[in-house]
Amino acid sequence: MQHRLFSVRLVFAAIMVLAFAYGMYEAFSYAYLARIFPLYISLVMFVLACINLAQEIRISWKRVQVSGVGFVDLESDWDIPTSTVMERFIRFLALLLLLYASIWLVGYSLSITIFLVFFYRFLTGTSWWVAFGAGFAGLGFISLISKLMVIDWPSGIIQNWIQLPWPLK
Amino acid sequence: MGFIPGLGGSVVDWIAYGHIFQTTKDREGFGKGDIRGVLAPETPNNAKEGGGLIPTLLFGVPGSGSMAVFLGGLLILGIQPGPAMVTEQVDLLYTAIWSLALANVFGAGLCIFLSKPITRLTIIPFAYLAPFMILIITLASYQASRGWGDLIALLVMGILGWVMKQYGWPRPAALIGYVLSDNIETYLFISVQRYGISWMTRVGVIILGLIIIASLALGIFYQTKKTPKSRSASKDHATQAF
Repeated sequence: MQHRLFSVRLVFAAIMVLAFAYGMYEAFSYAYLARIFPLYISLVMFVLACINLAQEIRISWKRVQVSGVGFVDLESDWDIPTSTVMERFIRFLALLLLLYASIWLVGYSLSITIFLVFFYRFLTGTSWWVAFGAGFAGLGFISLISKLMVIDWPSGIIQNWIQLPWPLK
Repeated sequence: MGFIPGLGGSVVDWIAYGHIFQTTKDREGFGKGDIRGVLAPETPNNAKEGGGLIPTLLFGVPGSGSMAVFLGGLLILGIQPGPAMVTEQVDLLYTAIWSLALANVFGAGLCIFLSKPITRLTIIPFAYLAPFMILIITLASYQASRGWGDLIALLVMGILGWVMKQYGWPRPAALIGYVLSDNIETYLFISVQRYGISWMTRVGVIILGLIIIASLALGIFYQTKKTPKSRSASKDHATQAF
């Protein structure tokens, strides 16, 4: 597993080198003023990416321990088994994709309300009353924000067919 | 670090956190509730408003998001920020300074009194908080440019952040680069237009360049240490993940 981690890191470092090399190559096809930012940034990043790649090769080859300030964003799920982390990630991603699909279908206000109700009822395990309470609290909150900040939330396909009252329109 | 105008909260918080992490010997508690991990980023975070006042009031250039709102308020009231603030409108200038100072004092007092109920938030199970967090995150990202692109960017950046976390790629560096990219593009463009390639030979640039090279070199030098025997028993988070 450790080997897998290092090989993935190595592939990422190599992709970075190629990406910034392509950035430099592409920058030369622009006019002088348009070339400034992509060329300078790609050049600096290419050098840094090469250093990073060399470090990754050294780490995987000589099997040295990694430490340093690069790992400042430690979080507690480093201690949780990979299978659990992956399972949680897939479940969470599926939930978000479902939410996005429902926004596309019925609009943000309606979909986030339904999302809150079903999340509380089936994933949190509360009663229907609490779930509906959470749903209406969420709807109230986004309606308030919509009114205060004059924001129209994304509408869905259903809003093209049916005229719904505010804030569901 | 916080009072330097123009950096913004996202940058100074992570720099301060990186610094405390780098200079602390016992790092086991970081990411798991160590109070030093809260104190370090919060200190410059509070200091940044004072620093943000300088360009806002003297030049009319907001140093942060909150200062942009403050500037908008001044303009609505018919007050034009600029160098005249320190000569003709000193009373207003000191009102702003003292308001900020007193707000910090009152804020600190409130936090001390409310710390107990606030900390109880941490014992609320994740399953109760998660749906409302998703609501607030999607809402906050959507109001940026109010388009579907914001929601898609949220999802893509979220997945990217998760992958980076799993494989031990530092996210703060990516975040800071992303936040500073606008400024870098603007000022690089201005420098090259004004001085051509010779901008790199200016004293300030050379000094900053040397500092960057030195910090990079030191970072590389201290980042890897050869300990093949202890690897299996290592508590290193990068190797524990897989």
